[in-house]
Amino acid sequence: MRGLLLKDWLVVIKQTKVYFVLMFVFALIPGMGVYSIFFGALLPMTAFAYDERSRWGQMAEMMPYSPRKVVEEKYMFGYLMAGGISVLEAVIQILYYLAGAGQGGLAENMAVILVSVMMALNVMALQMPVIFRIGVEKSRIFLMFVTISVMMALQSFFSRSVFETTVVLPEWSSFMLPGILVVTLVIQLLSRMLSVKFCTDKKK
Amino acid sequence: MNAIEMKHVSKTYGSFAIKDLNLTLPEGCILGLVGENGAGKSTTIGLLMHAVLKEAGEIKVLGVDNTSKEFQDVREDVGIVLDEAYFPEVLNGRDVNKIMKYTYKNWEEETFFRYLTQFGIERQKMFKEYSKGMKMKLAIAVALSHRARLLILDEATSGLDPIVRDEILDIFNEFTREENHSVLISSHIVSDLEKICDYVAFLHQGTLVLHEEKDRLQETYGILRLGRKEAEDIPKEAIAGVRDNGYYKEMLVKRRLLPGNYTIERAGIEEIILYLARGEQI
Repeated sequence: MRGLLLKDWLVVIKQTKVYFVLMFVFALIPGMGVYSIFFGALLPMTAFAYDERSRWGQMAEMMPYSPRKVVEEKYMFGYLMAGGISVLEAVIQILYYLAGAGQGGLAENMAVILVSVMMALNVMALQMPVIFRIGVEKSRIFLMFVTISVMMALQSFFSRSVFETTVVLPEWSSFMLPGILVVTLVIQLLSRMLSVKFCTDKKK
Repeated sequence: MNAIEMKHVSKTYGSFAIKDLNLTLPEGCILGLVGENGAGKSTTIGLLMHAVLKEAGEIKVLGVDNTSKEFQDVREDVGIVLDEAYFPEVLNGRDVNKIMKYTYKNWEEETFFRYLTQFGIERQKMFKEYSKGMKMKLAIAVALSHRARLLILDEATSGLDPIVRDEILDIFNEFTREENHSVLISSHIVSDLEKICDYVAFLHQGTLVLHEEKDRLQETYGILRLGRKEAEDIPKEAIAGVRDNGYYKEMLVKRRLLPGNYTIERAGIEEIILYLARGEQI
């Protein structure tokens, strides 16, 4: 899997340097960090697109990579990218907080980052099986729809429930993080199972 | 042991079908898989590597059933060159080395860079800047750098100029000097195969028309030219293919079915295949 991870990393970093700069800039802007985390989780789609363009998949299926490994690598790439950006975002928030320039409490901001990364990974998990089934080119509109919908919903939720201190949080809010974590784990598991199935079914 | 063993393998794609394919490649030998475009050569290679699922039959590669879990390890021992090298265009030779180092357990960096130097490939040059020949050479360098025991080459020499083709064929030949090394090479450039193959298999519209040792093929078949009237005396079972030139007939004949008084010329592999493919229409 390390070979595939390295391949995706090299391809993405060489092709999308501007994208990385944008992610960093978004991470610096208070309230925009969510977007950079989502961009991170979208990077596997970019890797998919370059794979499709070079028809790498045809060669990979002759190499010592099982369909399961191919699928797991793409998820792992997404986890690493979204995870990496989240860590960066967390560090930036801490620095803002230490400098007295942060918005809201640090704990709330960390919670927002955690929820954002889980939601971003869930968006990725919704998209992955579709890509493995019909390819990145055909699934482009679906990908855009899912990503934008979830990002807008999150932005709307956080701006009302977290940053507006006048809003009274519901009683269940303390269970929200563990709840989202459980839902995320279930979605990831189901998505991976479905992707492995679609990737295996591609063999005709 | 056979490096490749396909028994009664079938696969259908709409109107195209591979029918009851039986193919073996003894260890230490080179098998040339010949066939026109769309004859099923790439499908056969896909079937071998379990990239295409068979409908019936049995396939063993290096002694292992290709549907078994153990086949995943066998892939380590198979060097593959497809009709095109499908590396992402922004990668260069150095990147490919790094990726393959984590892909194949037996990856040999020194061997890879030695081949790059031998093939005149700049390590820093991006894949998109390569010529077709260079792309194929990179793929060949990869296939030869992880201590493979079996090379599977799908149209690996097509699109290359004759000098490069010759150079690459020499490398494949050298590869089989080790007795447990085998090569399956598919091509429609029969002259390439004639140079290096021990066995020739001819796939025509999904059916294996012949699978024979190259030398035996040339012992079996020969070319006979006779006037149209004299040609009528040749028993039909001895004729594998006929070309009517108006004044005389040129026939691919089975030597052992004809009396010794005929002057039968040596047939090239390409001629044999053309006659067998097109029979009397040629």
